[in-house]
Amino acid sequence: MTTEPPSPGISISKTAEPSTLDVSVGPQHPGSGHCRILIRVDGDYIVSADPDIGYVHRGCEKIAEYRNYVSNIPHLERPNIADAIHLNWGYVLPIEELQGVVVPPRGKYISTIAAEMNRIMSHLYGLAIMQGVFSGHTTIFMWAFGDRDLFIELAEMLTGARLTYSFLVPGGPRRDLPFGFEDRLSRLLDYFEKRLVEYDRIFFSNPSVIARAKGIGVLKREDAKKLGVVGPVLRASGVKYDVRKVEPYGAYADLEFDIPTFEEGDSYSRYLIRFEEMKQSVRIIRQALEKIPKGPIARKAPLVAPEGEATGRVESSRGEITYLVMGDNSDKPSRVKIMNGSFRNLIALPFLVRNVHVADMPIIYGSLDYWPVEADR
Amino acid sequence: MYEGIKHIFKHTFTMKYPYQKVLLPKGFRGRHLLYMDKCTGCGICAWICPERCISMVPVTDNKEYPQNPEKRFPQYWYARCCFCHFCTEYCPTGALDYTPDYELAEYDRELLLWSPERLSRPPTNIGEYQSVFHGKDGNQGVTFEPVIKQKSK
Repeated sequence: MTTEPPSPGISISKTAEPSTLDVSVGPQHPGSGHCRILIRVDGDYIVSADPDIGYVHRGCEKIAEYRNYVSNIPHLERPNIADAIHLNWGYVLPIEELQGVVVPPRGKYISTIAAEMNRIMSHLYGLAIMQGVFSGHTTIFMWAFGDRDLFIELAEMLTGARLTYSFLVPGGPRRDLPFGFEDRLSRLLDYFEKRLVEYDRIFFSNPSVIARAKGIGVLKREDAKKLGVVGPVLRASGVKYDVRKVEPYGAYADLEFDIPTFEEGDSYSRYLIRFEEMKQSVRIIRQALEKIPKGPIARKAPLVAPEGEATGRVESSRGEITYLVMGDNSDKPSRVKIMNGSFRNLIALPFLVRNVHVADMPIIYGSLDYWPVEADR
Repeated sequence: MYEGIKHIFKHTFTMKYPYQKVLLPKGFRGRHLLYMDKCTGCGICAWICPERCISMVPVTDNKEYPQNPEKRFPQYWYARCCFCHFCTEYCPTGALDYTPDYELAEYDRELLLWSPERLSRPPTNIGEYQSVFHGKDGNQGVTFEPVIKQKSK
């Protein structure tokens, strides 16, 4: 069976009912980024939606076969610059497993602190753009972006770059905590906890936000399990699943934290779950700063990995990331396979936007916190 | 309402960029600095470079480099560099270092090709800067004294 390529713009469908229209949302839509969503509308209601992804596919997995293990790090973290440490860490874990390198405890703690800072930054980005702007709320956009920059400055102090850190290499992190970092970070966390209360007051308790997001795009617990969504989207539907607890990596086994879950599974609970996760991240960083042991930060890892394959799983801010790395006794991996949260969560979009108003689609899309480049790889 | 009034008395966060500059942290990953008296021309920097922007080129000057008899030094093609600084960290002799220079725009595309001699020039944007990587034990590398205190007014 041959299928016609979907036409751009608005067109009257030949196959469906005559009252429906096919509308192309994106790829130049201000919100959707590098992703096109083909929706079929009947009046103001969406009949069906079909995400058309792949605009920013750059073949990361293939490029990785031509670079050596360390050189792969910068370009494998580029797909999601807002969440660079997690993409980096997921790639480094299987290499360490292949080489049999054990990171010293201090290195694990530094990685954990950097990753949780990155989670806060990424959730603030999502709160600002994906949730704030899409619900027409300019204040939270400015506030969240302003506070994100304070975390970026600290990340720059730690790693030397604002967003593209390339911080973790096989063997451990590249740098120790700089002088005065702990003090600045704990002062920033004090400030940030106060700001979280203000966020709650101006955004999450705001009647206009509740009216727009509550009860929209409900993903039930059973459906979430069937579709295989991960991360905050899964937890907002009531499934208590987090790789940090299920398969602890880094220093997460030593640290106490809760996994927030919500039973509703609507857009509003997906907004709230990220808000609650930021509170938990603050708690994790505080504990890690207290408990951080002294000693070496990294072990010297060989530049060659032996034959075999290993997987690494990390809980990124958009869901679970799984890397499969296959080595063949050379300095280059023979295969790198990436599975990430954005790609898995987008599967839920066609199910969520059925029979909702067109104006509700940005809310649902924003609540998934979808990052097109990460999904396209 | 209260938030709005509060904002009137807050100072501005924006900077007049060319005149005021952001205070860079120690160990900022700007352009590279090459110590030509340390480089042995082994080419590990070119091997580790993810963007393949480093090429080893011979240098034609009158100086003698006893550790590098072939006079082969790295040359950077800054149009491709992603400033990951793996070259700096994997250098076995500590011949490369961080600098705080980030204003690398040029009018001509060919000027982005930095020769070894140009890379060995000291950085111009020395504010609150100190090398974290090589400056630790004092023997390796040069620790730059703060010359200009760049503070936002």
